[in-house]
Amino acid sequence: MKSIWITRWLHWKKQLISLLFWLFLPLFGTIIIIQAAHAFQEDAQIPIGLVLHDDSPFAQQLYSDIAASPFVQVQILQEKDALKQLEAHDLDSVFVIEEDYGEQIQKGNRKNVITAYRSDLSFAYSPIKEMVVSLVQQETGRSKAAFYVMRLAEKYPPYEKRWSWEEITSKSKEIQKEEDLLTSTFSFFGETKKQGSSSRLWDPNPWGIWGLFLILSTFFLFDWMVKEREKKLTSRFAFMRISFSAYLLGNAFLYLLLFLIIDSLSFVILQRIYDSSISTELFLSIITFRWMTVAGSFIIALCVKNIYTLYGTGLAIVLLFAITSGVILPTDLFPNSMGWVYTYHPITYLLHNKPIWNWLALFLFIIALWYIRKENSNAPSKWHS
Amino acid sequence: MLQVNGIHKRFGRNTVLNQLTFSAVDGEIIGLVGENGAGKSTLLKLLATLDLPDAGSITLEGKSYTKQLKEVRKRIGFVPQDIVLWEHFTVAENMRFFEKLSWTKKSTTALQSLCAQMKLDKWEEKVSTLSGGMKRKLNLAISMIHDPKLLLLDEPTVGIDLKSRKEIGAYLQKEAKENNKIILYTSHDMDEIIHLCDRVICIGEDQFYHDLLIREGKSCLLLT
Repeated sequence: MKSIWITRWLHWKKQLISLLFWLFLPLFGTIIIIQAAHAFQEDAQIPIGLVLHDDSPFAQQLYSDIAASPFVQVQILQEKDALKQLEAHDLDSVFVIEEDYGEQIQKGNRKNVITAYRSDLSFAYSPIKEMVVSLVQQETGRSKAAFYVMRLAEKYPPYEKRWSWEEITSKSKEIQKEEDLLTSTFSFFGETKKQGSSSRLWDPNPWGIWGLFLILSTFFLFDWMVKEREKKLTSRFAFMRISFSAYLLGNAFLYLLLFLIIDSLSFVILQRIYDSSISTELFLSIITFRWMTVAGSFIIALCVKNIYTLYGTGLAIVLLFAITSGVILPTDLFPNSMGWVYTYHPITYLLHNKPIWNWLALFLFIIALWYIRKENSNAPSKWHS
Repeated sequence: MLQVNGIHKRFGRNTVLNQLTFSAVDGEIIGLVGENGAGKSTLLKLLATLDLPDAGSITLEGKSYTKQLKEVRKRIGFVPQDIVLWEHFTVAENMRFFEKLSWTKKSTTALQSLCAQMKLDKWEEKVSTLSGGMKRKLNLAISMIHDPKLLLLDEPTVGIDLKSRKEIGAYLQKEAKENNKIILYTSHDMDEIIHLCDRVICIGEDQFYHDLLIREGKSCLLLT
């Protein structure tokens, strides 16, 4: 193994920059993609101003509901400042919640509770106004319904329990939340929260993105196998202490060790950035995923004859996984009959922090068969000619 | 001693080698000549254990090619026609790379001395900057790292200048005469063969073989 390490080091030191680039691509690629996605989504949000003249819970609730929308960026301002910013076109529109907003909502009155301002460049005014109006209508409707229930209870005694307005509206909100009538089921594999509860339109799992970059970088780094077979180096190995198949396996093992060092570092860094807890399940999942990717790249590199086929295969696999894994596209786009794809999808294991033993075992079995066949061959060079 | 007994090789319906028998003693240089497609490279591959004969047997220093393959391979040095080198490595790095995977451990001084014996002195230069002759020398030097008993060369001097050709020839003669190596090599250059070899095996059409003894670099004596 020491001999293989020295011979590999002779190669690595000649291509150190390229090697480091591909080794750290999964880590930096993930950070860049996720930060870019977040930054883009923040930039894409429409800035609106909200002036709160009423400090009732209803006004606070309306503010929270508007702020929860992934499409808008809400700023609480004084009316004067808000209008100044609107004139300067720093804000798309301004909504003023009037003094008696809470009182009027409780009464079920929807007239003149909010004043809205727009400029000649307010391109998103109409949809935002519709959203605000629907939220107000929702609250007034709920309030009206609560008063109606209370009146019915008074009108048709006997009743076992008298419900307060607060109890009725809070029960109504509870039911709405449970039934989730207006929340889309748009979801990504591995996400623990639904889109409805996220403040972002696209909030990808960092390990999903990392997994895709990892596959790409492993394929590109495994071009050494194709290059060394292309060189007809195998004819020399017949007269060497180490067989060509052992040389390939030894080198793949060295790459695996190097990858695992970088992956451990990536694990700590990504956990720090995106999640505070260090999970052993995730770490095991990462190790097995990397091992599986190395084994898979090894098998494919054995099958192809030029590096461009290897690169193309790597890109195709990454593209296929990006589409089918749920990391980039929502899984709802695919029919239920394709559920088995997700069950056995390598990225799914990573997203669910599960070790990927089945694929790893399959690939190792194929490699073992190949190795035994080569070692038993009387003329080992035959297979590559 | 190398002993080849009645080897037979065919590819599909095409018989390339038929009942070929010859032997080579220590210190002997044998040239393999014949037209393209006559079977020179096939014979060299069989002798190098890179292919198996359909029939017949080969032994090297009493070791059977089929029963003691590993032991036989330790004793063979094969110089392929293609230059198999790492172009982005220096001469030193190429020698170090193959030494690490070789049967024998050799110091840097020993490797450097091996190169110097064939007048390959550009130790720290990148292979990509070397001339064709220098690359051929390095190709040969790598095959000599484990000090093989039998050296098989497939057109080792093709496409190189006269000076490099003479230097390689001188090295091979020294290895055969002073270190008792058995050397077999193919070439299309009859002048080189007559000058360098002790014997020539001519592989003719229809698997007809002549074993010629060369004397004083000029006349040939038909043995079989």
